[in-house]
Amino acid sequence: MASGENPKSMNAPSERDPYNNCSYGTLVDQEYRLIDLPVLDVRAFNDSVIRAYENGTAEKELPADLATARSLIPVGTAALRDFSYVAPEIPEYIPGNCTGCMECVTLCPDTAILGKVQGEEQWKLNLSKIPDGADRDMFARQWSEPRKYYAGPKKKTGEGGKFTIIIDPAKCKGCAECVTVCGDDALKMITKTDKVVETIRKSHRFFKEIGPSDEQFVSDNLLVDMMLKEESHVYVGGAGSCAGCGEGTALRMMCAATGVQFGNDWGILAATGCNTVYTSTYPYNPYLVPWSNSLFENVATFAAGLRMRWDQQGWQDRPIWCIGGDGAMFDIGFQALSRLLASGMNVNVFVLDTQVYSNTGGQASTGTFTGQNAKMSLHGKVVSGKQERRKEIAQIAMMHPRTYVAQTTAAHMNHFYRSIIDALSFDGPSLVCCYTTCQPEHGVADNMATNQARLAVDSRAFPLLVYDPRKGDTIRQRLSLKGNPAVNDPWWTNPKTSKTVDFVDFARSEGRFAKQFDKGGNQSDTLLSARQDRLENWRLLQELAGLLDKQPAGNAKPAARKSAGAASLKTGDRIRYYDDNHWISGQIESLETGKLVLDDHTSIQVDSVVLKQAIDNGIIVAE
Amino acid sequence: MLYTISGKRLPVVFHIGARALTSHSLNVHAGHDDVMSVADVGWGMLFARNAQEACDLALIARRTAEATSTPFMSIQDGFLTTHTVETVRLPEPEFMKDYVGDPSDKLINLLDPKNPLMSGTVQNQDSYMKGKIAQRAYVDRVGDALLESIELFAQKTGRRYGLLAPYRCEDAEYVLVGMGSYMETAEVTVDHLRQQGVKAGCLTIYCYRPFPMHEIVEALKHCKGIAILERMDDPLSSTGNSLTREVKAAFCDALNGQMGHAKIDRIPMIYHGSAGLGSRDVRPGDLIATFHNMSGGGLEYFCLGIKHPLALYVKEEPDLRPPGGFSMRGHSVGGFGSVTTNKVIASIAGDVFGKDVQAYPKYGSEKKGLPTTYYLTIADSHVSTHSELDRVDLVILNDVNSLFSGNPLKGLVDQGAIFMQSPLESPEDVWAHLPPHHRKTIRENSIRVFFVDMVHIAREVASVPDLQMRMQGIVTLGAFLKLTPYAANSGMSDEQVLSGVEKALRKYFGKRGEQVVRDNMTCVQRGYSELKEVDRRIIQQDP
Ligand SMILES: Cc1ncc(C[n+]2csc(CCOP(=O)(O)OP(=O)(O)O)c2C)c(N)n1
Ligand code: SF4
Ligand code: SF4
Ligand code: SF4
Repeated sequence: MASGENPKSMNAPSERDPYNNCSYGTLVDQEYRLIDLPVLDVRAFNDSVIRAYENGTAEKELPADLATARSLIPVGTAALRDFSYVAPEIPEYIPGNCTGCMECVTLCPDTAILGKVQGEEQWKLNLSKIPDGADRDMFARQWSEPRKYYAGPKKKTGEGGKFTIIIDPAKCKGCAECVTVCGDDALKMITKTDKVVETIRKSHRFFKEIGPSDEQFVSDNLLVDMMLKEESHVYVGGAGSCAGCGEGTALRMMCAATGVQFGNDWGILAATGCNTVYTSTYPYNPYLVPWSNSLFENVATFAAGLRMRWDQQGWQDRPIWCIGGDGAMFDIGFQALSRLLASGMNVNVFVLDTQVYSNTGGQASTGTFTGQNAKMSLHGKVVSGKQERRKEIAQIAMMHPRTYVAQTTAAHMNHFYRSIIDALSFDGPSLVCCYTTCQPEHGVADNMATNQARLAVDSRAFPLLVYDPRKGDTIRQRLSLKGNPAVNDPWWTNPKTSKTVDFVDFARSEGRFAKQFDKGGNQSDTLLSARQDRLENWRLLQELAGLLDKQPAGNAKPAARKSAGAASLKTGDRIRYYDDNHWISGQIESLETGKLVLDDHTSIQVDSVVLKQAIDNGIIVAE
Repeated sequence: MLYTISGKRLPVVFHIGARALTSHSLNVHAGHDDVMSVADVGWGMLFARNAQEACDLALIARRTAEATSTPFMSIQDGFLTTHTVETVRLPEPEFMKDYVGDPSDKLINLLDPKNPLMSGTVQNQDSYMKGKIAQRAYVDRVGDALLESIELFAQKTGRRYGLLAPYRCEDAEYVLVGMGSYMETAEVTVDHLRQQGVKAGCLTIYCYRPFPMHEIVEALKHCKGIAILERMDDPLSSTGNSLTREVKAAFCDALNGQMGHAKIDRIPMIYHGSAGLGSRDVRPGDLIATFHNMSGGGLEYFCLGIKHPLALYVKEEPDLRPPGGFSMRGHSVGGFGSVTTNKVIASIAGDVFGKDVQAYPKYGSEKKGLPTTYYLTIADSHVSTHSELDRVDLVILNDVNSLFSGNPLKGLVDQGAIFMQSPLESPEDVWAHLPPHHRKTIRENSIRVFFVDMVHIAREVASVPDLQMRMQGIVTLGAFLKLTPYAANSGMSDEQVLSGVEKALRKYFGKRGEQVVRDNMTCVQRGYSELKEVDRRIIQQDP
């Protein structure tokens, strides 16, 4: 148990929090992070201010003293926040079905579902420290033996890893995102009875006390495994975002990819928007790194100033992330952003692109899609939703001098992590624009952030891209559309339905476009122009990436093209795939539909021609 | 932004050339509406009247800011002060270091990964107001810390500032109140009025935030009337512009004996006016009119220096330059290098001949090729008037077109001199080419006329083509040295004077290379030696 020298420590069990679920440390217990500055006493803050907020006495009882005058907050205080009352349901883990893919852990917006892997022997030893036999059995039953951690390693080294997925009951908001992304039926939502809550609280406590994951089972090559490491959890649970918020997940993953490399030795500057509201509303802070907000419009300027100051102090090696929504980056802070990108400074920009001003209730931004029903371009009799076309910040950023640019989504976990890691290693400005589902403004369910982000990519609403100036001197060398399905084609054809997926299909799945369909489900003219806009955007990217050159005129279907050699590999073969920097093992699920399933539980969908080219070019080889 | 800086208690000091705001039109010149519009952002605000004060208050502001974690604006009048060359005593770097202290002792890094913190957070009903009110703990210290900084500055430099600078207020019946450069003009105007028996005084406000309410009431409570001048106009406020409102509120509290005021039993009549908007000239005559307006129970709100029903009528325009002062005015064209020459001359008069100087150009917003006017006053003591010169001893005509448009001889004193550009060889020809009405003035007022072909000299000397145009101006310096008594009276040898001149040229042109410095020096020497005079005998006749 987290030792609280101070008996009144919030980092210790209490009547309200008997199992100390609300405590510092995500996978293992940690102490408060004290600071040595005359402006804030962390212990006093956590144990009196946070306590008062948790007890509901803050508003009336806490004095207007110097501690509140600057509204400073220690790091990680959101860990002490108890959300266990917000949702009626909570996920339950079904160990037998789990493959250890880590998707649930990675894609939860609230750091509420956690994974751990330990060598079987050590695990048994650790387990034996739980005194009560019934408790021990209860906890042991929640550990699984997925092939990835158990059978695979056992074959190689003789020891298998036991794996578990545990819910932090104080942080889970019941969005069911984890259940939806688990393609293996290893999670389901259950009602929170007293007994359920008791079990989950206990399990979470045992989980934190059983020790860290065993490094030997955590492969550095598998980016999705990074959340098995404590240092990846720079964004702890307890933020005030909506259940299932796509922004939360994106921020968590950005923090994870930065944290595994830099620990807590970096900083965040944030533009006002949903992100600042759910991560900095007094007194709860989910970050473990220094963070500041100035205003809505000036974060890029702020970041440039901080970079200069940090460089002056010899802190060149400490990354700075500058984050903001599409409103902040495409619109009001646009010139400041452009200035920053033109400066050549080593600052990383992270855009949480909800295509709308989410924080203030959904006003249109220049990132809003044509046809979207947003405030300031409300769907009415005369004007049917936004009529202007979406502005593309990634393309604009690309045209700045030597800037690394990526457009990605949290749902495309490898692409996302790679984008962040490459942005960090790039010695100059970088911008990562991330599609983030916003439930209330997009009109989608709480569990749909990942699915909608995938569909946004599949339907060309939001193409993935990486523009890395290190890759060459021409745009086509630098720009990669890898990760988009059917990169050579105008639209992707879903192999399951044999139907093309276009922007209209995407629009049909979200409430923000509902008014663009009549009772019979027919789309409006506005939506057709929206589709055309997305197609033109996609074609432009294809052209820039040099993908249109080899195509015959008239958008011939890929099937009509002569299939390349690739005689050496066939459906079902084990392969290794080169993902820019790493080899990842996997299997060809279907040579015809162009699908690879990788061992990190991601899949790659390209059209069959591209797949065969990749084989010819040695990007995919037999294992 | 300004609010977030004070809210985070970041002790930054902004040095501001206060400037008129773009409203019905754009104007780049002096105005106080910009800073007054941000007087409620939680920053300290100090106003300087001249270059020396801008320099000193900058240090006082910095020290106070760091002592109280409170940002400060250190304000001077845009262009009027920012672009005026004046004699100043620059504080020594060692003194500044010692006075301000090491910032790393006081500054707190709120973005340090080793001491991680979150700042700039969101607060709701539960906490926002607490934080805002708790900020008073910082702000309450500002007044005392400022006084302490002022006191220490006085001890170390002998230059004593205050929150206010009352001038002849003790027994004054009428007092002019205001901030910025025209308040120095006000002091010499008060001296002039006192000589005429008017019990005038003036009160400069150095510190606007924190607002020195007690000190202001104390300084003014005995007056019959006060007039508050402001470089802005915001009539919808009804009760007056910013400073007026604050002064009225202070008197209201004093009448009630509240907010720490000693109770008073009457309030002086409070007049208020707008002056100097967008660097509109504010002259001693305008200020005299302000006093007369008060004593005559005139307009409660008035404006100065324009024609408008609310404007005061100017009856008298005295010459309030320091005794023995010398003034010159130049008429030139942007790009001739004359404005720089004016600064060089000021530097030489100040640094080489040990005089007090005040030099400033009157720019419009136009770029090269359009007329500019520049002014220079040289005196044995500080030049307190900050108005355009209308009495001058020397007129320089770099631009001869000005003879045909406008009146460049305006205010030229009897027995004054003209130094002009002319491509003509003979004095007779030069005289013949002057317009008849100017010839008349010159003859009647016994004005001397000097000329040289500055264009020709610059063209011959400039080794870099793009400097041919710009080096015309510097020829003027040669004429200055010859026509004014400063070199002769300095007791220096010719070599000493020349080496002083060269030093000044190097200061301005040194970074452009040695050749440019030498070329300028040649221009000066040729201006000195090739200068010709139109003889009095020629002047006596019309051609
Ligand atoms: C200058 C200014 N204008 C307006 C606001 C109000 N405001 C706060 S956040 C926000 C919208 C943020 O939208 P976006 O940047 O897209 O971020 P999101 O909330 O969607 O994540 C607005 C309009 C503000 N804080 N400052
Ligand atoms: S239900 Fe939502 S908040 Fe809870 S663990 Fe799953 S993804 Fe996280
Ligand atoms: S998503 Fe499902 S299969 Fe994957 S780790 Fe989570 S519970 Fe296991
Ligand atoms: S409004 Fe949207 S972006 Fe904001 S917290 Fe909710 S889901 Fe996230």
